[in-house]
Amino acid sequence: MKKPFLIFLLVFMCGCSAKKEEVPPAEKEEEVEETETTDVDLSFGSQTITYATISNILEDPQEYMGRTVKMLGTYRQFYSETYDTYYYVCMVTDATACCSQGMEFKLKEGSSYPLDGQQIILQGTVDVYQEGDYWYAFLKDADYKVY
Amino acid sequence: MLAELSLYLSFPFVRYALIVSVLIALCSSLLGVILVLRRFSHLGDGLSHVAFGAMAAASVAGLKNDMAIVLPVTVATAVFLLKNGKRGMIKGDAAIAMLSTAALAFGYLMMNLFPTSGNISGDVCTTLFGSTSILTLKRSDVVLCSALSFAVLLIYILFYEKIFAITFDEDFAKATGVDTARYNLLIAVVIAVVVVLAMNLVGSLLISALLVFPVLSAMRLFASFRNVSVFAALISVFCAVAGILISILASTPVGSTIVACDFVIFLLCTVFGRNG
Repeated sequence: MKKPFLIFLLVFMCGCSAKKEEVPPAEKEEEVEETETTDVDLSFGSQTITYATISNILEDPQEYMGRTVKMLGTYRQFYSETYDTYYYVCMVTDATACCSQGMEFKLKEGSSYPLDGQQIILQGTVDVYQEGDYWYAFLKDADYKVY
Repeated sequence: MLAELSLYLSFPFVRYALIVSVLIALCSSLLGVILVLRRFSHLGDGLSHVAFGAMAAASVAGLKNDMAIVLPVTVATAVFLLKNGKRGMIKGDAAIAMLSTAALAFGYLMMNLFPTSGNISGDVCTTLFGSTSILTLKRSDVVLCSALSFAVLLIYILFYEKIFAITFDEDFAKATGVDTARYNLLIAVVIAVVVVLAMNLVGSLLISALLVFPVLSAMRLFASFRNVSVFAALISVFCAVAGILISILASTPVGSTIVACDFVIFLLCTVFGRNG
């Protein structure tokens, strides 16, 4: 009884010890020029943490007000007929990829937005704005690099 | 890796998640001992599905704090299923199956008919599997979870001997003057509270694992009720913390990672245990 279990365990542990090859963060960092200090850097590492942090910022932006956030995500833009305005969003998914969150952002004056669907590293300062009866979090004076 | 972990631990929501998960793991393992020994292992699963249905009703009703509906409904269901001890379970696991599947179906139906967000599947998936719920707790949530967990622990410690007596021989306990109906009611309420709390950690579908695996692992190593309880608590806390840290570093769903850790420990205890 013990032997088959031992064999199964050995196989299981070998499988667990196999590592995914990842680009080390240092290589990614070299491509991005840091123009200001980043308070919350989500541009590398855990997708779980990135998703959870964005959820927390959107849920309670006051906790993060004025802090600089850097994140890696997919750029999407949406148009609202109700408010006749475009929304520019950096999307991230959770670990199961069944849920996604979008952090809205507004670029600095004179900047052009990326192409829809591009992976970008975005950096901006957390702020809020009011639309209708609700307040929404977004990243102001944002800057980005194509990933 | 240590530097990355140190960075993540600086986020307050990660610290909140670890605090709450330790308390939930502790409570669920202790209650799990009672459920496993009384052969009510599926009760946690059933109650979590009922809680899901109640949560759906609360979100459709637009309630900001769904605990106002979820907790009372889950407690009422637990009382109904466990009422009067053995006599309450006369319909056996059929009653659990009936209530849990109906609640799950009605909950999902309500969320589809009266959606409160644009991503119904995502919301359902998160609630069922506990993807990142534990990482989005606010300070007030932590305070509430902590208060409920401490209450559960206090009840377990204060009434340990009575719980022990009812778990092993309810008829004898009744014959010796123990008010078994009252203690069964207390156990039902406590189980319901733990199930509602544990949904934040592992989601509705995986709660049984949190209740059952640590106990089964401990029973592979120890025979006495006290030792099984203590070791189940240690295993459960270890797996909860390890699961959260692994999921943060490896970008895996939190609930599934915790249950995977529980399963690995169960295998190890089976191999090296007294019955292996």
